[in-house]
Amino acid sequence: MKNYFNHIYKYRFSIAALFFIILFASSCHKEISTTNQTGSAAAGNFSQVFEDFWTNMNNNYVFWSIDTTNWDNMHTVYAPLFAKLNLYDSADNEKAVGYFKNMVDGLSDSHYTLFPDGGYIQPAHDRKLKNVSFIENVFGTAPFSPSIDGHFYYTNALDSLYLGDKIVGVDTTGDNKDMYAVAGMITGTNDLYLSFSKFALAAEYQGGSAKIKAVLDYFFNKLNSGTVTGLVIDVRGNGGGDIQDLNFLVGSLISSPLQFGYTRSKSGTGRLDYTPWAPAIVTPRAGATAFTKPIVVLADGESVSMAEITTMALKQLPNTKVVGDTTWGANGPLTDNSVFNAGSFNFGKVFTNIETGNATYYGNAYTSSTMFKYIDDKIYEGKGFPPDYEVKQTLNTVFLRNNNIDDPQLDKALSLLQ
Amino acid sequence: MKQRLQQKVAYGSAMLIIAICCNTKINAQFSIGVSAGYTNNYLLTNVSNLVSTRYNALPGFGAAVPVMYSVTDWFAVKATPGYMQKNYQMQRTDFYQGVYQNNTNGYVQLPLMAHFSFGGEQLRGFVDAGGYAGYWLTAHVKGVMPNILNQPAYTNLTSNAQPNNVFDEYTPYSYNEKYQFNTTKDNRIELGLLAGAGISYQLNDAYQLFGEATFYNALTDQQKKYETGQVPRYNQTYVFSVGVLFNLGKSGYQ
Repeated sequence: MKNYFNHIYKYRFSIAALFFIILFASSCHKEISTTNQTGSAAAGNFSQVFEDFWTNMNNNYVFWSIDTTNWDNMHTVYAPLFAKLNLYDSADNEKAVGYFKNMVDGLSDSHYTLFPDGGYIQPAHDRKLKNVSFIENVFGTAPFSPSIDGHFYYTNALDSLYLGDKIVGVDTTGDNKDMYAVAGMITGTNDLYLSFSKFALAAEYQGGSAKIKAVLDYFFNKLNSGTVTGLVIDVRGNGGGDIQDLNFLVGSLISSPLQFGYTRSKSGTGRLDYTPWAPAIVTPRAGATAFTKPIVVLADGESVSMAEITTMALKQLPNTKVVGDTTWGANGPLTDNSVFNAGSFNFGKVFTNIETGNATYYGNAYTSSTMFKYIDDKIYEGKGFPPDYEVKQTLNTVFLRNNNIDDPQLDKALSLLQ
Repeated sequence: MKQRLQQKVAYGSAMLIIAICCNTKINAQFSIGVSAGYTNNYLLTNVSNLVSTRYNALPGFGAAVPVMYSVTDWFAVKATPGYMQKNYQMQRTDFYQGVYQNNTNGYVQLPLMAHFSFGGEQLRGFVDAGGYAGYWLTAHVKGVMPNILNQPAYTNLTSNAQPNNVFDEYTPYSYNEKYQFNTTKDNRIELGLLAGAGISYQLNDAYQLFGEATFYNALTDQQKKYETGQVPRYNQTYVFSVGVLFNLGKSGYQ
């Protein structure tokens, strides 16, 4: 025994060295998996298209912390189903669209739109259509649709009913073709009214339609005249648009920065890797004075994205009330995927033109780059922002028997301005 | 394969320690002390799918209370319970230069190791090898990111200026805040291996000064297994420390 330990002592450094070698040989980590940059994975079959889509959703979708969809389970269920499909078989492509629809059906993101080959899937819209009180269902059988942009009843027909002095503008060309805007004074009052069909106000004002610019000049001139006693901003049926309109429009009603919520995005590849919450702030326009008279925002189930963000920002002002219906529920702003490594992406690169370098993808997912949380710490994504005064519109209350129309929501707004 | 190798290492280590402890010519002594030093941690992961993104090592500090039981003049068992920062940085590059996040992570951990020494009476070299268990105690994040809902004030001026950087298009948001642990995602228990080398100087019968470089290699993912196809993250930490050991007593016998 003594000889044995003498032997150990003699070779103690060799033992130590061996110990180290074994230690580090055993310390290698398991292989670190890799994923491709968004839009870079080539796909020759449906399995590869599916894997690219599933992985990009896993990495780029920003609502996993609030979403109820079990995305791992989607992989378990649909990977073998896609493996049976042939990318170049039209019947299989129809099946694939159905599978994609089932996969994304419950997603919270109400901007979310999936464009698989030959398909169009918008889960939030599909869910809303199942609700009989959804505005599109309510007015789907309307006797006429006087709206110039083909949306709903409340635009130019109502202008004549409620507005005395007014100005209407329509962009007939360019990127915002058919954009509609109207500003005017509510008949018999000093209440100013503004409505527009999309958020492209700053762009139109700076280099777009002269008619839209005239509407906005009218609005700002009235606003700054000092005679306006109340303000109605009508974003019903407004599908959203450019974020810079927040400072352009709301920034003209405030004199100091207005925080109304927070945004966060992804900070890494993991499904729950998030950045901190950054404050959402409206910055006043240079020289703007605070509008302290009553403001009513009209919003409804077709007020989407920037229309909702604008509603929520204005709601943060002490003199604002929201009238109408709960908004659509798509609050998360979007930008290029590379800004946050999150949001919209192409998937399944099936072909690259070697002459032009242009890639053809099986599909595209349009999804928010950031998650929005209101100043009350609630996330309204997928739920919509509720009004202070809910006024449901029905065919009977809007389209009256004597071929007249009425706007109960605007009536409520005007009553609040009295 | 890896598990069997680790089992063999553990078995071999145990046998070696038992064999040494069974040696009748031992000269056991117990020491306790303090040490502190500089840490440099790197997060081993893969972010190749993220545009213009990389991870960098960041420095930090650590402090410990080393406790050593010397079995012979060349072998001891050592534990160094203490606190250690394992910091790292996420950095965006190219057009996104300026976007970053420094993660400051505090761990309390208990390293346990075999300590082999060699050399003269006063100045000796040593190597350590062993394992450790740690708990992710604190986390703090500091950084800058684009703020999508904080646009510059609107002006009527149009500009054709090209953006050179993301912050020509977005207002930067600087943050410096406590990280809220996520019970679904964050794995706060860390297990790993360590290896180190250093020199010690025996000041007198009671005090010994030492300096050491140690490498801590985490074997557990910083995240719980919460998603399919998860990309793991491992801390790899170099620690350069100095300290002093106080000899509590000698119990040599034959």
